[in-house]
Amino acid sequence: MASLNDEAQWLILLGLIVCVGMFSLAVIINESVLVGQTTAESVLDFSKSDIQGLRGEMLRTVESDPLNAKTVINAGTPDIERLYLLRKHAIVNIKPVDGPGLLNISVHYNNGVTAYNETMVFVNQT
Amino acid sequence: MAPFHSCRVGGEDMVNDSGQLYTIEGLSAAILMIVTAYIILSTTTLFTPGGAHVVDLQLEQLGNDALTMMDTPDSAPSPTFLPFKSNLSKYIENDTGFGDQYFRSNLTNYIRTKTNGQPDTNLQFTANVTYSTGSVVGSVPFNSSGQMMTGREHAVTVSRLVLVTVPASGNPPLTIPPFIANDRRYVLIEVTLWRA
Repeated sequence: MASLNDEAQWLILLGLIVCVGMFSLAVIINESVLVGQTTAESVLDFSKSDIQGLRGEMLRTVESDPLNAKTVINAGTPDIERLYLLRKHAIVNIKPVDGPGLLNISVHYNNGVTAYNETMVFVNQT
Repeated sequence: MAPFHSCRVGGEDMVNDSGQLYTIEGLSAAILMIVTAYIILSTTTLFTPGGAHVVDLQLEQLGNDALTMMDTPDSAPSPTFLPFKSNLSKYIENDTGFGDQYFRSNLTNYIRTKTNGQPDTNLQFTANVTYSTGSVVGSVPFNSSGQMMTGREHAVTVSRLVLVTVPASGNPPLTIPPFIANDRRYVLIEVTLWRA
């Protein structure tokens, strides 16, 4: 082998930089395959529609029949709690509580991963 | 004692700068090997379930959207127009006896509509109404798109809580126990969706 000289150091250094750059891009492309999966998984795991359904139904109960809402909710919560426990695997607790409004409903939801707590305050029952 | 620099003569000693290229080459080769090994190891992840998750997500979103559309009342609540009901509750209450058929045609329309005007006839569904009687939770079939499930489908289930008033006429599915006319109760409508 001929003896080494140092005439092309810039060329070799640039070659190295290009090499590292290509590998970094390959790593990024490799990661991008996982993006769809992790996004879909996290959206599926998050029980958005269950929680929205719960508070939406409370809201509608009060809006549709404000005078009897408390009675309907008190009578209906055992059903909701059992349906959510057995069909949606979540512990739910709903009850009218004391509070600033004319009607205050505390809503608790917990499926072991996601927890949601709210006191819905209805100030004006027209 | 000789001066320190006096030993740096010729190319005989251990530390000099005549091997720079060899050093750079060795270093770059090492980095390339490590990065290559990392990429090979990380690409052996199985991606097969990933595709299934994306399809699940889309179907679930579609089903939830369709149920939301049906469960949105046409009019705002007012003292003169009570109760404040959505089409979905009317279908389940089934005053007319055709509620399940309205439900079927609406849901079919909502989930199969595509932007090119041709319905996506591969989408199938079956719907149940699930109720609680105080001690047990039971289900009654509501309606379906007509195709039988073979049990091999990759299906997703979407559900929605609905407040219904049990009608005096007593049409299914609200003949569920305990049957008390004009009783207001919460039931769960469950729709299983799959692509056949």
